[in-house]
Amino acid sequence: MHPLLEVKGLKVGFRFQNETRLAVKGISYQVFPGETLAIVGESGCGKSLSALSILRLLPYPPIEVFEGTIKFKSLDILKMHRDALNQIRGKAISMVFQDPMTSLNPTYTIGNQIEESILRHTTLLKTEARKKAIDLLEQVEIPSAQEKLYAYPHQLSGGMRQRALIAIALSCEPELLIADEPTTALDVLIQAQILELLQKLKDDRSMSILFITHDLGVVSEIAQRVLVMYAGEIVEMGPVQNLFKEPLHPYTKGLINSVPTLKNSTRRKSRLSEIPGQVPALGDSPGGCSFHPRCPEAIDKCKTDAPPLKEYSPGHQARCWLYE
Amino acid sequence: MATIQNLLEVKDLTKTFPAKEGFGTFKQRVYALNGVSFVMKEGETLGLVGESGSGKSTVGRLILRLLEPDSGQIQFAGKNLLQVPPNEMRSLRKSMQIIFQDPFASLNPKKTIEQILEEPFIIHKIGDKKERKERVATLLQKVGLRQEHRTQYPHEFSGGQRQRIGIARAIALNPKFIIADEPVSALDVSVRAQILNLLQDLQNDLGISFLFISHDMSVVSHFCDRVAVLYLGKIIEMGNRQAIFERPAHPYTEALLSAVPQMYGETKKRRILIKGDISNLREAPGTCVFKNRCPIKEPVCDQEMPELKEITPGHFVACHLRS
Ligand SMILES: Nc1ncnc2c1ncn2[C@@H]1O[C@H](COP(=O)(O)OP(=O)(O)OP(=O)(O)O)[C@@H](O)[C@H]1O
Ligand SMILES: Nc1ncnc2c1ncn2[C@@H]1O[C@H](COP(=O)(O)OP(=O)(O)OP(=O)(O)O)[C@@H](O)[C@H]1O
Ligand code: SF4
Ligand SMILES: [Mg+2]
Ligand SMILES: [Mg+2]
Repeated sequence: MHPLLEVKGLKVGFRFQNETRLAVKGISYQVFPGETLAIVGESGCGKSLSALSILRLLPYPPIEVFEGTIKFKSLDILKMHRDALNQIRGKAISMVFQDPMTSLNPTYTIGNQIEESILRHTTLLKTEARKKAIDLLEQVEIPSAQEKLYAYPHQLSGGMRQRALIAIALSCEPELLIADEPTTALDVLIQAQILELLQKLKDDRSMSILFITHDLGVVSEIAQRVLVMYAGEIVEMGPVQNLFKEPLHPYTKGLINSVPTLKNSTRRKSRLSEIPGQVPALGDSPGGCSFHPRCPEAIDKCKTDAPPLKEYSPGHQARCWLYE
Repeated sequence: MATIQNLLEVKDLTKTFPAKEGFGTFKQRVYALNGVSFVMKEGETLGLVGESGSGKSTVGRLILRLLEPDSGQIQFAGKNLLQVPPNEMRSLRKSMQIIFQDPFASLNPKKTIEQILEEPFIIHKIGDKKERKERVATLLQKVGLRQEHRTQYPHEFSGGQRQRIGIARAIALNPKFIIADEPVSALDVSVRAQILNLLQDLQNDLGISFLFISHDMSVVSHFCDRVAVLYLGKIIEMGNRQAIFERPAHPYTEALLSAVPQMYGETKKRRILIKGDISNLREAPGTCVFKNRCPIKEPVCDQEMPELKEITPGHFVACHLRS
């Protein structure tokens, strides 16, 4: 199968006093039609910048792409003319952000914003666009959709705003939906509703989703494949079941073990296992493997040489000397 | 005659706020809390869980008297908190502390860590300069910060380290009781585990009681002896950890637990999907607070408010059909 999206050797960062500081250090991955790929990793590891690059939405200046290619089907996104890019944005690829308030325009009604997106990308007439807007709000299960067309963003709850954003993102039936922590700010009950909704929409439309999160539980529920990032690099990537059942990279193992789960804890209070230390600050990554100062399994080589990302079983890659 | 005293007794706390938007000519009030009662024993950790807007932080603020309740009582260490004179309140404050979700917002950016941690000793006139320095050193060590950190400013620290500073400040005066309001919600997974372990160690070593406020059921299941579930300003279920997590009785608690995303390989609970949002315009309810979203509701739920009843020793539920 051909990938829908192919990212190769992507480097993103900014210039700082004559040197280049990379926040994304050469990542490569593919998203196939109809699949959900999750990107996980801790705050600051480069998830959002990777995602923003895909639609050339990086906050430039200072952030820019230094190297790499991004292909959507056969189109080279980074080289594409603005006009062509605008044809893709919000149409073939659309995006949902973490904070629904900042990505909705507070001065327009929800209805206006959905219709505008439809009118921009289709040849539908205004009345048809309105009908479609209602239909979309119903699809994302906003109760009394007809009324909500006239609501302003501040009149909706957080969960409703996030749904409205999803409705806008879906208004042009994208082939790829990029969702950057779409449920992180929401309560679990609302999160469960939204995840269910995305799942259903993906199945109904055979859409692909690139889902960014730091919640391993959410990953397990929504993704077929997972990409784990640490300090701007991919440290492990593979199908969900491999990654959770046989994690290779010590960072992935650490993450999985440090999550408090409902199951293990009901009988007695227990200590959680910790990953010691903290993520290195941008620009002072240690030599060798970037995880070595925190790694419980590090060997001498890890301190001096950076390990390559290698495939250890079909579709399952890791960046770690322990498996060489 | 010695009776085992509760450290904290909260009775029938009610707190309303004026609603921001009201319809008609009535001035609406939002019931942030509506008759909340619970007790805490010394050394115990009580988890207070619920969705955003359920009233968790309001409970904390009332206990610390940062807010005044409309009605209700709060007893702390045998004292009626709502009636103690200001000077006595000041000394009681030493034994009650708070840790916030975002310690950054509560750390003075212009002060070094040493100045921040010395402050409680200065305010309460404890020790001389030298002794205070020693105490700061001990605090840093207790929360896993290095002595070099003394001279640094809050912005130079990561989220996890800032939370450690917040914790150090909270334990400075050897409190009996700490309110931790979402202390790990803003932290990354790996750091979250570090901070939870730190809090647990401090509790074991110092015997502090925690009122642990969180919206994360998994975190609460790790950290708390007992749990109270809050919904629209009412406790709808309360019990020890095992009761709540293994035998939840209220349909809301069941739904909350079933909605927690499970990691791959864990046995999946059947998900109970609950429609709608927690509504934020409320009136004094004479009915069940959960009725609009309840999957098992019956006509009685629209007519009467379910009382919090003890269904097995120590396990309380407010539901017409389950208690
Ligand atoms: N506008 C900017 N200027 C300078 N540095 C930036 C900017 N935006 C992001 N960065 C830095 O780039 C790195 C990667 O940021 P990114 O937003 O991609 O992280 P993330 O993985 O999405 O984190 P989070 O989980 O917190 O959203 C971080 O160290 C961040 O501080
Ligand atoms: N100062 C205030 N003025 C008006 N309304 C308030 C005030 N403080 C709280 N409220 C309202 O009281 C209710 C409970 O708020 P509270 O902050 O206790 O909720 P919470 O459970 O801590 O929520 P979160 O998880 O979002 O922190 C909410 O509806 C809130 O809007
Ligand atoms: S009292 Fe009724 S409405 Fe409320 S939770 Fe129980 S069954 Fe549901
Ligand atoms: Mg991000
Ligand atoms: Mg709160």
